[in-house]
Amino acid sequence: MNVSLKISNSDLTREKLLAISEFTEKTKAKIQNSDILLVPKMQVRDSSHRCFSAPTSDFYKLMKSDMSQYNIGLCENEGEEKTLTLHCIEIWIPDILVSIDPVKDVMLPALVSFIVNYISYKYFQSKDTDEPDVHLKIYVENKKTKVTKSLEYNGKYSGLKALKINAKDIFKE
Amino acid sequence: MLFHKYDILDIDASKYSDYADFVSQLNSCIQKTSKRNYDEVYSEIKIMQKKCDLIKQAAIRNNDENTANISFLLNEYLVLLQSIARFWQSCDSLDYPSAWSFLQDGLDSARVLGKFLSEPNTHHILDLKAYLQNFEKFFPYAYFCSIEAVVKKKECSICKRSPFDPACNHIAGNLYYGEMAVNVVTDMEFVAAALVRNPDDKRCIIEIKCDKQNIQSGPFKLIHQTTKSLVVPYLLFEIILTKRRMSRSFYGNWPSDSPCPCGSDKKFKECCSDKEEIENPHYLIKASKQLALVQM
Repeated sequence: MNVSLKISNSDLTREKLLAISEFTEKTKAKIQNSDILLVPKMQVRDSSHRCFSAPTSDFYKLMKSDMSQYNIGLCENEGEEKTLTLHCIEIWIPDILVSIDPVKDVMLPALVSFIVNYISYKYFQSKDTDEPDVHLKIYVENKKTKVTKSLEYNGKYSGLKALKINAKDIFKE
Repeated sequence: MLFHKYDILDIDASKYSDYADFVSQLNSCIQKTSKRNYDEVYSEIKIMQKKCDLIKQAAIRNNDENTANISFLLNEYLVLLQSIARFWQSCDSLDYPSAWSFLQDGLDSARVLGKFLSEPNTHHILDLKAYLQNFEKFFPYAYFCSIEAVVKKKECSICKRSPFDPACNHIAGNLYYGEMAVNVVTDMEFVAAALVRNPDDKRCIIEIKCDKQNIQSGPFKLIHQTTKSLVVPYLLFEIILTKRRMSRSFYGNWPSDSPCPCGSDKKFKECCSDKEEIENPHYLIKASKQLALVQM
């Protein structure tokens, strides 16, 4: 099975999010204190809207319930959350920012496991047998070096299930 | 993340007086559709939907969420039967674009039922879903319109709060006391439209003219021939895909820029136009059984 995970450098950091002037102090506190932060796309085509993917509200609720050992936040001012609806039967997981210590990390495998369960729960109870494509982007910040890498997966659900992420490998040069 | 499944044959529901005779009435709807007594089907379904609502209200009063949700699923089954009746009625009047919409309504109901039922083929739901999906293959719709939009405001249909509000704990698509939670968009901004093959909703079609006078040679000829050859609603069937070789002359002046009849998705001029024989997909329809019984 061809499992394609694209790892690249990213300039998305908590500092950069904290510098966004529209964010309230409450939002900035969430940016600073969340172990897992759901981040919106900063621009949608030509508009200036920050948008989450369509299923973000359900994803957020289920994640808070299933991963209650972590502090989970939504990177947006309360009441200003916008979502982007797209036109195909494809699964767009919200973009996620996590900060980890690559040597001790246990969060990334738990996160991928949650996402696999979430897709099964939300989509495979009702849809037809055709396997929809999954789009996933996780920004991983190294707590020590503050370097951020983005992990991007675009492919079938079965490929995501087979995905093994080793935090140490992500930051190997 | 445990997903709650329901058994619509649950005996607890039989404690509710309006549940009696429900199954024989479902059966009656199927038989009346088979005899094309559509108006009788619709009025029976209306009565049964009222019964469903009474069951739901009684269940809510008894704080019995399980039965309230079963009443939702029974109602969904009625919508499925009604959609099939409307599909056939539209086909009978050669209104195939409307038939397509009713087909999609029926498939939506079958998906909801398939999602929530602990025994997926209860009341032949999987058979009915396959039945409708088979008809889909004979319609001329391959691409669908679909929009991209920024949703600025939405509210939960259950608690009326924003789904992002920490006080809203409803998951869209789940059942709560006989209601399915959905996110209702109250403010949105259009971004773009696209033509796609795998839309979220297949109702947004590119309109194809349905010329009732020349149906045999028009784009709806396949669905027309299929429904006519099946004769009776609820005769379940399977489709066997084979290949058929036709002489090049059969295709006469087939437009060179049109899709090749062999089904390759290439233009005719870039594919089979120079061949002496063209192999094309050929569907064989094999009737299996007349659906008549709904067992409880």
